[in-house]
Amino acid sequence: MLAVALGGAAGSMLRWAIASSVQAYTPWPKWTGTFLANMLACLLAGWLLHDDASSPFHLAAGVGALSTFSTFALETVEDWHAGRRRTACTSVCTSLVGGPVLILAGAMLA
Amino acid sequence: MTVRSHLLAVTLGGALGAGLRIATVAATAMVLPKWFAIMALNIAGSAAIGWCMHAVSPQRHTLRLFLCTGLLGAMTTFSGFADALVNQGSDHHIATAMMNITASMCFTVLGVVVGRRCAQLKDTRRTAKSPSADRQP
Repeated sequence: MLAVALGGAAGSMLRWAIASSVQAYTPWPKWTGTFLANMLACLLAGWLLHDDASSPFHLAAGVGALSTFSTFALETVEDWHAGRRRTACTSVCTSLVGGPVLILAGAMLA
Repeated sequence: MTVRSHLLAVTLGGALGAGLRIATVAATAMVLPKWFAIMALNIAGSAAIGWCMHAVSPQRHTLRLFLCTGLLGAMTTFSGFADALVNQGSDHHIATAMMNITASMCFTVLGVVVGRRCAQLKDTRRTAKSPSADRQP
């Protein structure tokens, strides 16, 4: 359980660092930080966790915590309510296509 | 000091959220498919983040980081969702994959809206019940 907690803590910190850096150092919109963290997590999930049965718990926790669905949904709703409907649709479509593609790409790297 | 407390909030929240997710998926493995447990956690987490973003004021930034970025961010997972889609596709369970995409997207977005609405309603009721409101002519 300690390994799971450490993995979760590391994944969350990395996600927060990516999202904060994107907001602080790039002119990119807010959703791209979460998007980049989610895509990196998908690539790592395909690469490190391709054999689901033998995946160590701490890796599953870390990679899972690096990605997030709640923030993705929240930012989609915020963009939609703010009238940035094209941004909301772009975020959803690129994530839904990019996630599975990067899982497959990661599995090919393994 | 502030950076340290923010870091601690995200770390603790992330550790708890990931533990909660792994424990829930493991506990329900006998009765629910893994993708369904992940979807349920994603929906619950989205509703909770919708509530938290309204109920916890931006001034309480550390608490927001603990709850939203750490706990709920780590409890919900996009990579687990995408991994389930790939598995469903490779097993030729296309209808299940479509259902997973549709239900996950619709119910998480709806969850955020409902969560926020519940927090707004609670706020409205509290304001209406407060003594200062009673003194209004």
